[in-house]
Amino acid sequence: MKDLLPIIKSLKSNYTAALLFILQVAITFTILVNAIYLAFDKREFIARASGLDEQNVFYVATNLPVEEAAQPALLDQDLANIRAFSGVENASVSSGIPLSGWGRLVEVAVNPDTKYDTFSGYYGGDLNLLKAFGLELVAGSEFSPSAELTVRTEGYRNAIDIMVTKALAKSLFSEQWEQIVGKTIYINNQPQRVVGVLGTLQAAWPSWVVVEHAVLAPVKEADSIVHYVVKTAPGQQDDILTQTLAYLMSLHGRKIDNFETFMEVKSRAYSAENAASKTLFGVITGLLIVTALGIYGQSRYSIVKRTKLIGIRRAMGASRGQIIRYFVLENVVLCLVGILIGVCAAIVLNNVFSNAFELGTIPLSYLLYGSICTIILGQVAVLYPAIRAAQLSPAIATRTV
Amino acid sequence: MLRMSKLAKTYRTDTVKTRALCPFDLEVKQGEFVAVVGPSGSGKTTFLNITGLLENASEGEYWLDGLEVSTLGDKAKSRLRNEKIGFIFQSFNLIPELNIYDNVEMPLRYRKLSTVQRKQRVEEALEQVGLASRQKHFPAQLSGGQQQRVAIARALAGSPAFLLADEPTGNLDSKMADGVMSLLKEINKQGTTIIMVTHDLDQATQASRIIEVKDGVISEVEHCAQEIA
Amino acid sequence: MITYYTKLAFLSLWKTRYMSLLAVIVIAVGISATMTTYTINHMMTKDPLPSKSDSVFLVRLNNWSPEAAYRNRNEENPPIYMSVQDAVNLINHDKAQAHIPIAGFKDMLKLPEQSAVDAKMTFVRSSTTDFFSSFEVPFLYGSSWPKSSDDSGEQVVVISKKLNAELFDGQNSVGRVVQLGEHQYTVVGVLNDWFILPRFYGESMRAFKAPRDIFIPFQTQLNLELWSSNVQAFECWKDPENASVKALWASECVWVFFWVQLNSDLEKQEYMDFLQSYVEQQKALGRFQRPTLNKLQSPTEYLKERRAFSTDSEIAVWLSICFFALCLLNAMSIIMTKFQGKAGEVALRRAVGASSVDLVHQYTIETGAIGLFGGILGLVLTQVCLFLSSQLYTHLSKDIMTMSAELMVSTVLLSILSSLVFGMFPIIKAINVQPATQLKSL
Repeated sequence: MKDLLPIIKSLKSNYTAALLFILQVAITFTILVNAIYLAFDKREFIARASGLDEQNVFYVATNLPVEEAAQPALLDQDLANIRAFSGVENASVSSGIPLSGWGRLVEVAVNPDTKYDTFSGYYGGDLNLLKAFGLELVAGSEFSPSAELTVRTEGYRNAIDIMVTKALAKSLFSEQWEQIVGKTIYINNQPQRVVGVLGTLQAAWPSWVVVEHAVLAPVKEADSIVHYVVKTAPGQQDDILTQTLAYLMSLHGRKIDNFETFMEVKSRAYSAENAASKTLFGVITGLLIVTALGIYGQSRYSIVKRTKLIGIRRAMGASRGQIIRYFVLENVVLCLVGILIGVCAAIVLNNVFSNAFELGTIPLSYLLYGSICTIILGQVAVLYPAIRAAQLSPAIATRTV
Repeated sequence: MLRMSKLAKTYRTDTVKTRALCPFDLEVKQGEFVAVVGPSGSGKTTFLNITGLLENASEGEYWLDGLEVSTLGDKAKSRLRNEKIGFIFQSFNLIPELNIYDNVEMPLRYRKLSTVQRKQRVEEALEQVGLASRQKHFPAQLSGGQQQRVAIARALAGSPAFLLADEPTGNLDSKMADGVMSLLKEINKQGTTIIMVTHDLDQATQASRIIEVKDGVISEVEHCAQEIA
Repeated sequence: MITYYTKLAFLSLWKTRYMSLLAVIVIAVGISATMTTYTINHMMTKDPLPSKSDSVFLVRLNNWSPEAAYRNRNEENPPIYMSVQDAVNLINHDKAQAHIPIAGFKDMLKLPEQSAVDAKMTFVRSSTTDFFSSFEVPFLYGSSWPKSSDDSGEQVVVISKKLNAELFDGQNSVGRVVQLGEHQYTVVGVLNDWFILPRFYGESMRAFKAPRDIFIPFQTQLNLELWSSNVQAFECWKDPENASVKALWASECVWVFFWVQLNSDLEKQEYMDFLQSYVEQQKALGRFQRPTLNKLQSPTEYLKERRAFSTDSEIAVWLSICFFALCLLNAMSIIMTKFQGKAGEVALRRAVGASSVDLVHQYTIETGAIGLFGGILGLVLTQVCLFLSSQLYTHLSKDIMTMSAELMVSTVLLSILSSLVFGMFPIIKAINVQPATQLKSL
């Protein structure tokens, strides 16, 4: 600590360099904290669970190339055949695919004739859809076989029994969400009975405010295009997908509209966020390199400039450790001041961002970790020049240059 | 051509006021060779800096060729330095990355001269110090004595009214120093006024006039150069 | 004098080459970060059709259920698309300079001689010939179909340059035939490279994707009853009579975007009046049982309302501007270090009569040169970053990652200017040395 006073004095005499250093640390800290916060925000967004058995589900969109009356039968036949492949755990048809952008939305109300309480995504399929998606039932029971219906389109108008996600139940009944089981709620003004509550099932649009709201109904839609959902045993997805496509194409007039594994759906859904978070990590890396270079350069310069002074100190009996300690301590003092300014700037910038772009506020822990990172960065960058300084020979003091 | 009256210099820091030069009067005439002697810390360099318009005096008047210069602005002083004064330094102060020609040409660059005029003057000056053949060399390729000759050529290129030399032989061995001294005397003979700071009394006696600076007091030393010569 | 200073500047840059290089690199990194994010953001938010931004409008009519407002919003807002019957009616009334319905479907595309296995599922855009003229679409071969094809629903197509390369090896394919599903169409035109960003005219979610590769007349889609339920959003407040496509065409289901071109405020006003009378006439027929909320919306207004612009790209610009400031500060301290070593030279030049203005000139040229090199290197780095971004941002059209000549020039200018601004302080500091103090120990 006895070094502190001389450090402050020497900084005062060379305040422009010190000021520049502090400013750099402050800006680094500001960007660092905000960028890391944004990057993790994106990461969290991407990491949200969809509720599906993500690794093992794929879907195929295809047509039913028979006349309208025969379509429901073909649908059942297709599904039965796909289920018969070894390695298929379950298969179903669905009116939408989570996160794919393809799905329906419905209005949900607790009471009849009210406008609506909230919106929700909607999936209609046969009784197997629950298992084909790999969903978890957290309350109530499964659909009874008698509840299953087949319609051409807009199945939510015909459903009798439904399941809702826990998030939807909570938004309607808050903490008493389990009470929703057995109650009748209104989906697009049609009374429907809730038989079960799902842990998680996301709607079809990843950026939707109520993406966690979903309604599942045992209503098959035998439309012009149907989406078959297949869940396979782990590791068998590729084989089963090939088999399924080959089977489907064996029927004359069949068109494969589209097919994707759920992991593909997910990476497509989050491609923007994924790219943004990678860019942010790129910015952070560039930032750290530039700042480290800056600190290194400045420390090196300030040490070269004080070569003779260091020689004199060494000649007067200062140990190598003391010389290193001097520069390390100087670096800490400057970093701390920079961080202090940076904390204020980071909060201001975050405020501007959160007002302008609807972002959350940075948790205090980020500021703390950011400070620690910045100080470590400063120390790493100053260490080599400081060691070089300590190795200077005391004999320098006696030279006249 | 150079007249100082009641000139003095005081340095001020927050707490202390130091008198570097006590008020003095001095007149130097065209063609004189003045040596300034004195122990280190006596104020020699301050005297030289004031004379060379590098520093302002704190009080008094300084007339250069009939012009009172102590109140002039930066631009006018720069111009006076460029046109009237030639500097020669102890450590030569050549710019290492420029060749000899470019070093000598440097002061001329700050004047409105054509390329041809500049070339002529540089060549003349280098001729005068006997280094005309070394135009394309760089300072590091020359000996100390040769470097100082280049510095003298640089000072002469601008055809100044007087030369200010600050220990011009201080970094040279005695043989080279003699060469530089005879060159300076030669230049003086051709009519250029020289003011030279030195601590070498031998050299001082070769001047036509000696001024001693001691603890900030400037005084004339009577000497008998005539008799020795 | 300039040549002399330039020579000195380059000598000095060479003498301190590592430090100069460091400053150049730091500036280049900062500027490339800023310009990359700026380019992406600029391309995403720029006016897609500058010459037509005041004359092309999306027509919105409040066609929804008598019982509830569209999407049940508190502030009632008409749907962004309209029903087929309204689109057809508006075209038939012919009150605007140009009528551009945006519809489409998807089907299997192949050459008639190819086998069914080679057919590819392809998105088809259907519109009118006005689409190409109003949106200033460039043609490589042939031209758009004539107005008569719009009226009769002829089986003609315009294809993109890319598709022409795939199907016809890039030859002039006008007059050739392609097969879409069960129907054959004659090629009348091949588009040249067409960059329209944001692609405002369809669904805002796809505003940053490339346009479709094949275009047919709207009337042809209607006549041939071509419909894919999963290509675009469609919303119905009332079910069609039956499941047939014909019933869908006659229904109140809304899904057709409808743009018009109106060349003056007067024309716009007249068109609003026309829409008013049209809706009133339809009300008399029992349709449009909600408050009349006719709207004409410019491309930018529409994209804004639909929140097509991600704020991420804007945040990225701000972050990289901060980063650039940091790089400049860093460069500033490098330049300061560089100049501190020059104290002796400054003193010498002052002694031989250079005024401080002379020296400011000299060092400004040196700093400017650092800025220039930083800018040029930055430009190269920006191109690299944009290339990497185009690999990373797969959800965006590659056309976003291109820089205009103006942007390239401004990159270099920005670099020079900012290095001059940030170099000013080191220069002034360097020149302010007392010449007298430096000459002894040079």
